[in-house]
Amino acid sequence: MAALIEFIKRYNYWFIFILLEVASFVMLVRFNSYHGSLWFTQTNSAVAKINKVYTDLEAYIHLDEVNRKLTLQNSMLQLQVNQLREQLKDATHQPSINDRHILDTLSGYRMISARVVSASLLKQTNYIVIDKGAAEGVKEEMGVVGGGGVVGIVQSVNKHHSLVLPIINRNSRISCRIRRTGYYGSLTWEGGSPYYANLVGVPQYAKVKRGDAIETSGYSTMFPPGLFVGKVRDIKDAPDGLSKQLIVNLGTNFGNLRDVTIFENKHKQEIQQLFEEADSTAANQGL
Amino acid sequence: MIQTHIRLAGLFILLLALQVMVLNHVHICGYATPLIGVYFVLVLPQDMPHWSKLLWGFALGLIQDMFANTPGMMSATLTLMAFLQPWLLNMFGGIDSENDDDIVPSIAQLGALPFIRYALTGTLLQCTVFYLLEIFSFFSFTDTLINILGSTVLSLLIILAIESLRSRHLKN
Repeated sequence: MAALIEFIKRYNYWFIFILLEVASFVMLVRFNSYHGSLWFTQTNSAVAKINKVYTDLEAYIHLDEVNRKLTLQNSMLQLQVNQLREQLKDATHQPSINDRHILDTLSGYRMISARVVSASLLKQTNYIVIDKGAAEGVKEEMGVVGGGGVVGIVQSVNKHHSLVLPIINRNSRISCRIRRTGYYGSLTWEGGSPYYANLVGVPQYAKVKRGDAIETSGYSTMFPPGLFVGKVRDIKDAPDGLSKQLIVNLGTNFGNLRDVTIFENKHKQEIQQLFEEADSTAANQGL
Repeated sequence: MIQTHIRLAGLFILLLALQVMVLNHVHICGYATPLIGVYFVLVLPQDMPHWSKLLWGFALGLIQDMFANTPGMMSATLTLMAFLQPWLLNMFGGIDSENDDDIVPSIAQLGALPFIRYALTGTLLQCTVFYLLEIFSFFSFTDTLINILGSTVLSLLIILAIESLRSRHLKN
């Protein structure tokens, strides 16, 4: 302690010198705008340099964490891009004339869009499974339509999936007509190529030529009238000789069918009711 | 002791007045401005305590700064000069501090040549420090160098003139 006091006594002028110089420099920097700004910028840039080194170091240490986050984000973004790409495809799809014609006749029908989950097309009894079911409002005997034309009819439904009986099934039977002349027939399929079906029961006197469009008649409650089915490819006489059999080139390509729409007829109940009334009246009269 | 301080105070006021009223307005060719504050520091008696010298130097610099509106520059310079004064006197004044401990630096006591050497070193140092502080960087160093040299020469001439007057006065 004594040594310290002795030291301070001996070199007191050093402390005074430093004190006075510091005071001078404070004044110099504080009261001279030029020196002040110079001091400020110089110290600022020095501090900034030190801070930068520190930040760089910190960033380097955290690279591992950053990398992990980036990987996660990257995979999330990839998923998002996939989803958006799908949505974009849907949104920019140009409706064909057929589509528009179909859409024009859709008032009175509620539509549920669905996606094909699985399908077969080379068997005699082909089926299609779609990803909408009772939970989404799908019921049995609703019509199913694809971008190219009629696909088939819902046969059975569970909670989130439905089984569709397509045109290309031996048990399928859909009422159709020739668009140009309005003659009716039933669309059936007898196995073989999934691109062609038969329109049977067309009267012999009906005027038909190749290339005529076949559409839904609207006589069943499943489809609205005028939905495109296909085009006449060939005209034959039916085995019974009383009617014509038309070979129809189907508009729907079952090989790449993906997105379909299910039609619900809002008036199905009323129509059904009328039929029932008629039946009961007939029964009563019969009695 | 008191007499010494009164005499110093007189010199202090005289030099201050001269510097502030006359010499601060001299700018020969825009470069050389005489700075004679260092003269006061240089002639402080050798037996004066070191801290006292520092305070005198600081006080003179501070008041000069106030008048010249250069806060901190002259006070920093003259404090440094007061700090260095004992060593300068030893190295350039040609005295032996062991034997002569009551020396008041002057031409009379040191002799003409050692005093000029002593004053030249001190003045050069003062001008260098002052101008470097003023520019605060090494920007346009040539101009600063001309400033320093011009001011040193001018200051030294004035200091020697004052010193010759004072020596004559002290003799009488």
